[in-house]
Amino acid sequence: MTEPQRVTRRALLGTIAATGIAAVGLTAGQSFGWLAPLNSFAPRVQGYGPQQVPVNTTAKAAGVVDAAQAADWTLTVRRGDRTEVLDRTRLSGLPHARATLPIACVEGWSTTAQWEGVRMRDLLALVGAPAASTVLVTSLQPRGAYRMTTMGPEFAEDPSTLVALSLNGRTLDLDHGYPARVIAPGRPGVLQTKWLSSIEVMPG
Amino acid sequence: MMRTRAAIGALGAALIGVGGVFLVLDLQPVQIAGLVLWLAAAVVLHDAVLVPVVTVVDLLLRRASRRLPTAVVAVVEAGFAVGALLTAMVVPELIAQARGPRNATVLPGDYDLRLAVLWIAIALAVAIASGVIVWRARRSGRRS
Repeated sequence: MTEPQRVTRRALLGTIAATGIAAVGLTAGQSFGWLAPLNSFAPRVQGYGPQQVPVNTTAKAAGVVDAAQAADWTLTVRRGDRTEVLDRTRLSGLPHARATLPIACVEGWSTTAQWEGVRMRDLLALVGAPAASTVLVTSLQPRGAYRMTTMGPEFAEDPSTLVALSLNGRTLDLDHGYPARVIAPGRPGVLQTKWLSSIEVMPG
Repeated sequence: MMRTRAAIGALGAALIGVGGVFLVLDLQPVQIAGLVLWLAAAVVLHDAVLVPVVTVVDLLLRRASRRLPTAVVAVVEAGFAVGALLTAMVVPELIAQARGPRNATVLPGDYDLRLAVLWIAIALAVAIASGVIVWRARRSGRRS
């Protein structure tokens, strides 16, 4: 036997490729459906959670269990002096739309779901919001960095941006934002505000 | 060849540069400090835990059989690297699981069991690959 061999370039690159493929292949299934069967080590599982969607912040953790289930819950839509107060019955009576959109969490997981609710732009029309309005969405949450979210017109006017009332065919689960939450395309999960309290058109 | 390598190297350096610019633009100083700490911990984990273990395994392997083809040593080392990396990923999950995940949809798996299965699968794959390498080496040795 000759001198102990150094690691060859081919062996090094092969090892790096093997570790990369193993690490990605066994975890990326928490975000990509076609890899979901291989998901062994990711902290989330696609479709695992109430209504087949994982949860980040529960209603209990957000401190909204009572407020969200209150019989007198209303959603306030406001522009200046003009205010519309919608209870669940009135909100449910408005024209509904459906959207297939993912909850894509900045933590790394992503699950696509069927949402149904009232289009954001229809709600804004109730108070005569002008075109290209930016809105401020507020949750029932008493605290937290994402209690309030601003949403630009590129999201607010999109026909698939909904104030969702149901998820995967059933009334929104409390942990998914009952009675109403925002779902919009192309936004991180933390900005898909849950347990809505008010939607305010910002002065332009 | 050299030109291709230089081009790939330049592309890599450019991408690192872009990453560096966005790092400074997008992150707060406290976040950058956290990132540096995290990267430093990765170096410590690699140099203080992984490298000594790999070195010992390597020495044992070479002592055990001086006639092993280098390809077998490479396969064993690769298998060990894959297992070690995934262990480094899974151990924090096991710790978080023991401390109690923040809700039922976080960390729902039997990660300890799966890690054990992974190591067994790696051992099997390495054994099979080594067997094939040794068999082929002997066959070609006989022929010549």
